[in-house]
Amino acid sequence: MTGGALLLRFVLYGAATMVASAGDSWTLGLGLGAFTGLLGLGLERRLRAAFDSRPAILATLALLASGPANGISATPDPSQAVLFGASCLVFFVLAGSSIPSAPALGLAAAVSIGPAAFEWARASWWHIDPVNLLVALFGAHGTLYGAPLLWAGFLGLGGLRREKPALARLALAALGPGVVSLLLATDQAEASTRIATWLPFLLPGIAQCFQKAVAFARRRPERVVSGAAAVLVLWNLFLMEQYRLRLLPSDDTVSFAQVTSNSAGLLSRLFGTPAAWPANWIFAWRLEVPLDRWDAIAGRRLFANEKAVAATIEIGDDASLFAPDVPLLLEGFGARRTCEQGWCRDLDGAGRLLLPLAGVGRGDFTIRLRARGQGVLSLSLNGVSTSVAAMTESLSDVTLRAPARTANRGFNVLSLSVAGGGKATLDRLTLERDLGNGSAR
Amino acid sequence: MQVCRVGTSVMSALLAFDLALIVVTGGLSILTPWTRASPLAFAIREGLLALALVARLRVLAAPDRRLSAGRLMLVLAIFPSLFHLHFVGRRITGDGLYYYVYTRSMMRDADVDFANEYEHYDLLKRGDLSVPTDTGHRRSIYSVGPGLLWTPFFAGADGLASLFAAAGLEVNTSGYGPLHINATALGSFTYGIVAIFLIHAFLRRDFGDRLAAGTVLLLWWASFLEWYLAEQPLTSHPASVFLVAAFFLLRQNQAPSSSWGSLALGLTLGVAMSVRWQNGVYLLLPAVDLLGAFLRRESIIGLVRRGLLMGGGVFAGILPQMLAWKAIYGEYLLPSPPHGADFLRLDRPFLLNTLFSSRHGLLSWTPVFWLCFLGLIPLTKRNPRRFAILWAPVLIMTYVNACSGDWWSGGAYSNRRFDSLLPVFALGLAAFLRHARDVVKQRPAAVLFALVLGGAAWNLTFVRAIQRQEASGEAPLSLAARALASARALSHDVGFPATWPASWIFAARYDTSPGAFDLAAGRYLFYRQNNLGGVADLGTEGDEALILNGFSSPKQDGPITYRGIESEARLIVSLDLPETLGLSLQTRAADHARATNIEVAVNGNAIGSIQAPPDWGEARLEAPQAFWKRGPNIVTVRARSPVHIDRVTFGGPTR
Repeated sequence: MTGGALLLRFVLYGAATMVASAGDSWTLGLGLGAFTGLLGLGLERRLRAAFDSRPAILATLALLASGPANGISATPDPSQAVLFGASCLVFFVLAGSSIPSAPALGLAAAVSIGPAAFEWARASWWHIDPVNLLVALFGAHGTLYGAPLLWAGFLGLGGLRREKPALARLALAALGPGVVSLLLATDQAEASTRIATWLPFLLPGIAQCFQKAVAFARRRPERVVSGAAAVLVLWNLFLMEQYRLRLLPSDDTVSFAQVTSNSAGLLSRLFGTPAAWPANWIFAWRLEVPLDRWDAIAGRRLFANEKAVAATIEIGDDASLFAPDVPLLLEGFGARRTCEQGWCRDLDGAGRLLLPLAGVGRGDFTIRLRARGQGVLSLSLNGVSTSVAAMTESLSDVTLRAPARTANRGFNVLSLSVAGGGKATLDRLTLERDLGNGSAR
Repeated sequence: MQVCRVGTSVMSALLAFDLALIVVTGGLSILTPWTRASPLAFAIREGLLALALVARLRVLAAPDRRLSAGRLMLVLAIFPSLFHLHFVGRRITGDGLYYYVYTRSMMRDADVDFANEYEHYDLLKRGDLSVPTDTGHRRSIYSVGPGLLWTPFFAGADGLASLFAAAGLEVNTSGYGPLHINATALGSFTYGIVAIFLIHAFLRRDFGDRLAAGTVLLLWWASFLEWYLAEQPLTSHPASVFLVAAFFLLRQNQAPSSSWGSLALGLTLGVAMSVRWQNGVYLLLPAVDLLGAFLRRESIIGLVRRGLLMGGGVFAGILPQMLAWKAIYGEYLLPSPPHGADFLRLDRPFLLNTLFSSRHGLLSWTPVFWLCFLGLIPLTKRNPRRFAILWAPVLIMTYVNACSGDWWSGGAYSNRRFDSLLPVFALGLAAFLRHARDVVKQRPAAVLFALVLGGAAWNLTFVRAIQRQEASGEAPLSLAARALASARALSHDVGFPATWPASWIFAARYDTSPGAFDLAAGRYLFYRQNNLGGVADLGTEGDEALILNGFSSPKQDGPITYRGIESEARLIVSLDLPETLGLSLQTRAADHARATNIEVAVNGNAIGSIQAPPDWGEARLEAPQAFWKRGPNIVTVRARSPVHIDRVTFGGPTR
């Protein structure tokens, strides 16, 4: 291996981390990039003992290029990088032995669930729910959503178990407890911190999968070419559809960013975002909502932080795709329109709103809807608590006060209906919770 | 076995007839006459027909008469397209109307006087159509060929209408009704489908059945072909592709070496020219063939005879167009296109825009054509004697399309004017796919590397979006919002890949981000349809197309929308022709207390300065013709202190 090739791989391994970390400081970016580059060279060396060189290199690259997907934030987190580096070191050491001992497997498991245990010990509240796992893996900031190639780390385990059972056992010892730990939600760090410690253990599965993929591509090149051609067909079909629906001007310049966004919207609406499969299907099926709703809802927190007692959602104020109210509106709501001094949306007869809540507090949970219209507006939370109030000609509050037990941690459905199928104009939704004293734990 | 064959044949014919009847009548079915066929019922019929065809043509057919796998794939691919045609496709829209009036006028009035048709469609008041030509006809800038080729289907609709009338059903026989329009649309669709099989036959000799079929399928579904087959079938494109494909197949089968073949080739090309005049470029190929035969010292008499027959065929083919022009304009041959003498400007090619602009650029909208161009290179290298000549029509047609007044092809899907090149592009695409297959076989890890790069791009573009504050790392986003933020970041940093390398050239030339290319390249101040009307209205929706740098986000002051500048900002505006222009700037000083000075330059040439008053006010400057360029121009605004700009109005000089 030449020095040039080594340097090239060092740069490739560190590039993604460097770009992601350089937003604030180039020094930090270069430092973390170099650190990741070194980690990459070590991981690759370990993998090459068990796999061909190219799958080993590409598996390492796939893992490290996806690093920034875990714990995306405007400011890079060196502590997470250190945690990841330490777990890489553990993987490097443990994967070196041909038959991992029980203590080694125990160490792998401990490393993988260590951060979760630490969080749990410090948490003022915690709860276990399968939704937490789905959000951590498939939510818009989830690991497999941000880095779909990491799927290979799980898919490759089957083949690995037959061909390299020692590596398979090591990977399973870390991944099993690690994934299970994602069921836990606390008021502490993001799930990405917990994931950082078992990410390196995906490498054997990724390398195994890539090795098979290389063999397949060599055996059936025409199928690979067909797959690539299918991407061009998809691009064209989505472009045709958005042109047909007049989402683009028929005779003017267009922004290709907008074209991409329209296509992504169509894909997500029709099939759900592939990177979020199967969580988005489960979500859509359980709550009877459109497939594309998962992305903007999973992991959303209406209350700004754990101590916030009120959350306000302005309805119709933001016209962009990033509008915070849009993901919450399920059906029955009209387009944005002006009302009094600001922007609103009309409710046509009946509609549903989705309220994702991380915590509902201990006392009463209050929902205030600023609305106007004629007739009586009724609100119902999860089909249990109901409130009925007459609306006025000018905007005023309609309030629903529900016991905390009727609101769920997770997804709640607020149903609205105007008596007689009339219209109501909605301006703002305010949620208030009573955190009470003491711990929920 | 024989009974099964007959049974599946009858079933196939019955289902095919029923599907055609549903399309033509808008839902009437002989299988379920009591109800109109729903989308599900239509899809079920298609599924049954597909099964019957597979059974009849593959399973039950004698081994030596079995339909090839490639052809079967193409047959099955017709069904989604037919569904598209019937349930989604449009009929009389855009250019389709002007082609259809030929059919209706020829069939109903036996002429090409469109006054009654234009009146029916409420077009007689339109400026260019309200005045009769020298012969008393109404003008048409469209070719006669498509309308002529659709007449058999119009006649079929007449026959069907007679049957319905005889059965006591109410039917519109005016020729404007859905029966005739649907039949004509189905006819045009049929030409397109036949073209697909002809291209497949053309490719089979060099690339084999399956690769040829895969190529044709990819070209069909990844280019503008599906749009013009099913979404807007009433255009010239399906018939044009059909005739050009037939021409290439005839040529490949050595038609020019026989008398009858020469006549057929000439006639095909002649009719193709009546459908789309630019197909005349292909006259070059038989001319080169004859020259080659001459150089090979073939019999002069034979060559002359074949040349004359070919010429006669071409003449017979273009005769309908000549007669139509004679009737409409009083001349058999027009000295310039009926669109106007300045429609084709051979000294003014917009090559980068035609290929890469976001306004229907061929390669930016339908990147599959990249593969077609690239594939022609190894093909030419492999057999230059056979394939090098194909570069001539590719280059000539590309140049001609780039020189068209509206190089973006009006309200087109991608750059449809390249339709005549589809058989040539198919050759390139097949060669590319074969080459790609070999590369994957030899370097399978390269595919994985591409996949990993794709994964990194998905990930890093979003990180860049967060860094550029176009997205938040806190709240989750819908896929559409994430894609918008990521694609904006990508476009800003390196340009949108479909616009490479034009966006890089644009960025280098105008010292801006390659992302600015998308909206700016192809948007004109005054030129042709959907221009800006001479007004750069800042702060309004879509003003990003005019902004290079230095402006704030859009702001509003009562009814006035504007953007602010701190010290210097640049606008980009495109002209078709440089001319002396006045610039009126509606501005105000940001601190509302005292006026501030603004200097304005056009393409780096100072044109003067104005005062931005404390409240909104307009001031005017003039930029001489010498300062302007054809295409994008940069207007630089420099202010001593922050100012707000509402709009810049460009207009003629004051004198």
